[in-house]
Amino acid sequence: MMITGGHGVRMQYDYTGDIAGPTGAVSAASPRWLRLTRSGDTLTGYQSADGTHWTTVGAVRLAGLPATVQAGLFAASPSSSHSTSQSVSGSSSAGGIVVATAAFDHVGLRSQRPGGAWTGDNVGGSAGGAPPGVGFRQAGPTFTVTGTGDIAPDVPGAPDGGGGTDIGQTLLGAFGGLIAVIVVAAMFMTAEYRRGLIRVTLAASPRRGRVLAAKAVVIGAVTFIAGLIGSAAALAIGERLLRSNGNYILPVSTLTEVRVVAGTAAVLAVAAVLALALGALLRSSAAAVTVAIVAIVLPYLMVNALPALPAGASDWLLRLTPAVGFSIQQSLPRYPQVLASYTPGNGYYPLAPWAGFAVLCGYAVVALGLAVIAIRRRDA
Amino acid sequence: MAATAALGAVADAATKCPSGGCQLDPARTCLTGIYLSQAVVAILAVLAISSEYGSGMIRVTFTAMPRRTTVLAANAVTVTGLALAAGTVAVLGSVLAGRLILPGHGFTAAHGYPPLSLGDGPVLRAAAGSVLYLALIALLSLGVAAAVRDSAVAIGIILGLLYLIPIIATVVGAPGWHRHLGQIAPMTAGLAIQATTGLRSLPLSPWTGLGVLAAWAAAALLAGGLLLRLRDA
Repeated sequence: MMITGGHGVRMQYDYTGDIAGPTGAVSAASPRWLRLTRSGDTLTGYQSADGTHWTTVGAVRLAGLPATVQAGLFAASPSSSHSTSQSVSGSSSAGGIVVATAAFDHVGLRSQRPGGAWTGDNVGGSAGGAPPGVGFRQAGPTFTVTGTGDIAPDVPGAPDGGGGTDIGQTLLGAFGGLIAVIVVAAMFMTAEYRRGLIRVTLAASPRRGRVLAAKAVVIGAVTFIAGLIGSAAALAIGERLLRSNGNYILPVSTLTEVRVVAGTAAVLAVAAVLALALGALLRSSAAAVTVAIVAIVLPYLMVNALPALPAGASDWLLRLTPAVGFSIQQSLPRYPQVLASYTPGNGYYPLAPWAGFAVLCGYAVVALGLAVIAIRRRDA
Repeated sequence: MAATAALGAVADAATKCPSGGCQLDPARTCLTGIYLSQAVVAILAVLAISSEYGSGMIRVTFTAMPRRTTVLAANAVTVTGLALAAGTVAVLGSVLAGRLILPGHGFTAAHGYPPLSLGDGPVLRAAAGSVLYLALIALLSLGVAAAVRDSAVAIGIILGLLYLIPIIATVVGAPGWHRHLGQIAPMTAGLAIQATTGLRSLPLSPWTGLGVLAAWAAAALLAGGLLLRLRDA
């Protein structure tokens, strides 16, 4: 149970859960009462403005909670973070430790096993020691607690994060594979135009839409299998390298891991189909390759590696371009209560994984449809 | 050209400098379109050589003009001229768009941003440097295209070289390596020329950065020229 500066009363549990209570600022003139009760595995949080009329904020069940637990008062504040400079080599952000102080009175503990006197502890403090002022003071019935930091799940890019990385980091090489795939897929179509072989092909198989569909199936399937092998190997090797260099990889479920690996292969396959369709539409390999790379790689580069745009604009740039297909690589959830930079560089995309992949598929389908129309109408 | 200015204008319109001041570089913001236009310049330069290879016309060209390096040099002059002309128009359009749009988004004199003007030394350097940047991209592309002959492979190599290194650099944790990648990557080094603020935090000074790109272009042209001489057409 906690009172926040700008988000009212909240009940947070199990590091990741967050239940909102009544909003409204709290000051010395209008204090707030908080109460936490335990019954078996269930914890219930209450809040009150006067200490007599209580309302329930939330009840949560923490499975496997030990019979004896520690209870206490806390004060904390996440570090501040703001971007200070944006340059072509990346952005740098600065921030600082923020210290919060809270005064508690009418502190009471009702338990079958009475506790001893309250003791102070700096929970999860860094090795460098607590910043000055952190600790607690007791003056009669009033406790003054000062603390810093955040009680929250680790999120890449959070100022108080534990420095964990997401598994998507190991698959960045997919962009190199993507460029190679685009070149091969575009040439799969344009080479025939250049050599004039397309006339033979279309004479042998007069149903032109079927020729294009067959090519799309072949390039998509081959790319998917190659991409699957490549990304599975990249993930396995990358994880090992990251761990051996002392990095912590934030754990995800096996299902998520499968989605990320198979999804990366699927993104490459759909990009291959898109490049093939562009090749059929434009009939020039240089133009097809450039359009595909500019549509898929450049937006990612602009929002991630060269943050020249403000956050809102870069979110829209991603949402509207095929580059958002890479959101299938997002493996970690967003936590609204955790302050962090949720950017593609940290593994967060502006669309849900499957929605982003659907946008890429939409582009490929539209391009393939236009290519079928063009190849039927045009002379070969 | 229009796309360059348009993308720059969109970037201008999307950027806001709050009243507390900001660390953004207005010249760089309005020249965002260069990211896109370099791809167009690369296509034109690649096609200057590889379309001849594609059609087999290169054999006719080399029969008529047996000194192959002269052919490459003539191509280099043509694409450089084209890139300079198109780049000048695109950059002037971008700066004009920035001058008109940015003051409405907080880039005002009160926040320490005088209106963009080519009379201002750093802004002139950013604008003229961006035009030179496009010309060097054209030469780099021409060299790569002469070396690998196939247009799709050439454009893949060029855009990979430009776009991939900065993406890979984002996961390079060690600050020293990150800085080195920024110093050798043709795009990040070359675009240092667009910086008008925060020069000290750049991995390279603006003109040195453009020099790195020039070295890339020279190396590509040298490789292309050598292969052109040694190989059958």
